[in-house]
Amino acid sequence: MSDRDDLDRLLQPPVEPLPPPPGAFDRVRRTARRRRWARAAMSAGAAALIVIAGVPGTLFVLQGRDGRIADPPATERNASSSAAASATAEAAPPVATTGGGAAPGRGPGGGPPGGPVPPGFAPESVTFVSSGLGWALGGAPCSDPPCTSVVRTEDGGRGWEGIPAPRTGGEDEPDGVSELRFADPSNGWAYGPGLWSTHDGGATWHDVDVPGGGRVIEAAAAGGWAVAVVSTCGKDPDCGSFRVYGTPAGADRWRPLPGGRGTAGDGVAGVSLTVRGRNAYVAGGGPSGAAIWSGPMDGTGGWVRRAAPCRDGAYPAGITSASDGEFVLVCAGRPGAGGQPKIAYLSGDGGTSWRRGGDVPSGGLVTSVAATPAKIFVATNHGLLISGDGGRGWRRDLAGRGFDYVGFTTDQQGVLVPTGADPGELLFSYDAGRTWSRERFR
Amino acid sequence: MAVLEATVRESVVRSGDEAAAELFNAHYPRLAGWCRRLVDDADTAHEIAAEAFARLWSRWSRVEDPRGFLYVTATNLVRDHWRKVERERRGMHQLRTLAHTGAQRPPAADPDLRTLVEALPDRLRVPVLLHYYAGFPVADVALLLDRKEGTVKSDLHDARARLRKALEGAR
Repeated sequence: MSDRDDLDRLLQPPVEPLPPPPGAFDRVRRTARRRRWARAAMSAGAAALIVIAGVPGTLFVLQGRDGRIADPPATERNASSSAAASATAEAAPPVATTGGGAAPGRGPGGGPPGGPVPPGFAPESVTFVSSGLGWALGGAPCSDPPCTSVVRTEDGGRGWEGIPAPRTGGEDEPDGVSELRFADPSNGWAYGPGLWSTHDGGATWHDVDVPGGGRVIEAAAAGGWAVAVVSTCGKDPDCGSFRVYGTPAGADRWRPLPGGRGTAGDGVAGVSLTVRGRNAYVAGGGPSGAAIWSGPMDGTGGWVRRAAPCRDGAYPAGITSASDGEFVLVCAGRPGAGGQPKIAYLSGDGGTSWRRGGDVPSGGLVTSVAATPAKIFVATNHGLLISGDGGRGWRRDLAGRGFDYVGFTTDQQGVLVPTGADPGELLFSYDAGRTWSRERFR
Repeated sequence: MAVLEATVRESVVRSGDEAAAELFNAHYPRLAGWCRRLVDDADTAHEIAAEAFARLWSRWSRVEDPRGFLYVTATNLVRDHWRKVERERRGMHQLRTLAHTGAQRPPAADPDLRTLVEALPDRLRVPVLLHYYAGFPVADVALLLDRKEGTVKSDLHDARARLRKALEGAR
């Protein structure tokens, strides 16, 4: 046999189909449905808030330019990270599953004193109110479920500590939670599909009736107010009908915002939410075309619906606003073989008018969009796309990996959530996205 | 394959679990079988195939060509699995070294596909898996990986040269 024959035989062996195990289809559908709800609630690119996940561990430095992950250096990040990692290793039961039983406020915002991070903590969502102070919601193994856990950082993700969490399960439960947002050091909400609030920095959590009786699919906060996008579709994950509610950050007085309702999404993409000042912006596709709904979170004015610039069946895959007030909208077409057409649009007048930034590389499917005054970031299932010239030119970073989320807390500090396979890992940037540091939590 | 694709495209126009079940039945067995050729056991192959479908459905309910998404996702998951296994191998090797055996891991007795492909850099490994194993045309691989067709052809040529050299070296 020749070399050529050997090579062909090795490269093209017959594939013997493996029939799925009994019940596999139903399990996969359930898993996908859970993630779908969580994902729908995850796409906010907030000005004051950032979403994602995290806990401590050893920091590895990535060289982002060519998408290659550098070999891990020998040094750990700093003393606080080391201390947190030690605490994790020695931790007993997850403190965060204890609900509202914490000692009163010694933490930021009157929050509780921190304890060890639950062993095996797997972050799902993170919120930052400053470059230092943030929280992560996730799960951890425990003997007495539910095992929802919350951890807090006061140094930008370098060290974490456990605090009380809503005593509920994940997105499978009617009052379960999968996402976390804080408006300030005291007031925060865990949601998706249920809704819980804290007004003492996470020391205690309260089960709040979801306004309208639906499922919370998105929430954000800024300027002393919070806004929630609530699905009015019952349990149909493919339905996009929603209503928007607002509340003062320091209370649980949710009220429907006048005109804040519509149908967004066709089961493909859901909605995307961003906030700026006291206004919120909801973008989505729909039967009457892609649109952006916007209005004040405090209910002092009516919401308006404006057509989004997405054309030819494209839908708004992500909307965000940079710190200089520029809005970015990425319209994406129907996904095909591993990619989808994408166009970036920019607005300097709060979404009233849009100008075309440029074509985004078609490879990869959009999962999230973020922006700083200098750059636009598009997370995909095949790397991170970055533009430094308003969307005209793009480079792909970290091409070997997929990401569910990208967000920037400040113009310099950003975070990436890798796609599900390794939930114990996050990527942070502290230099405006030039390099990314890998944070492992296991 | 044409019949399979026609089945998938027809399923797109329907919605809900019926179309999802049709898609699953059409693609799962071969995807899982493809994974099985690349990992150690059937359980891992099923885990990877199921995860690829979960990711597909968690994000998209209507995809014109889900096969590309499924195989690229599975390729990434296989790569992650290999890395995990390699870390475990290194750990075991270090343990053996500490236990003063001094023994090196013996070279693979048979340079099978996994051993050879695992040794390729990412840049070459992924197009090999998608083109040769999953059967994607070069043009589709280029689209999936956001590379030019010429680049993919060059990568495949480079990969073949390396694999041939590895084959010769193993003899």
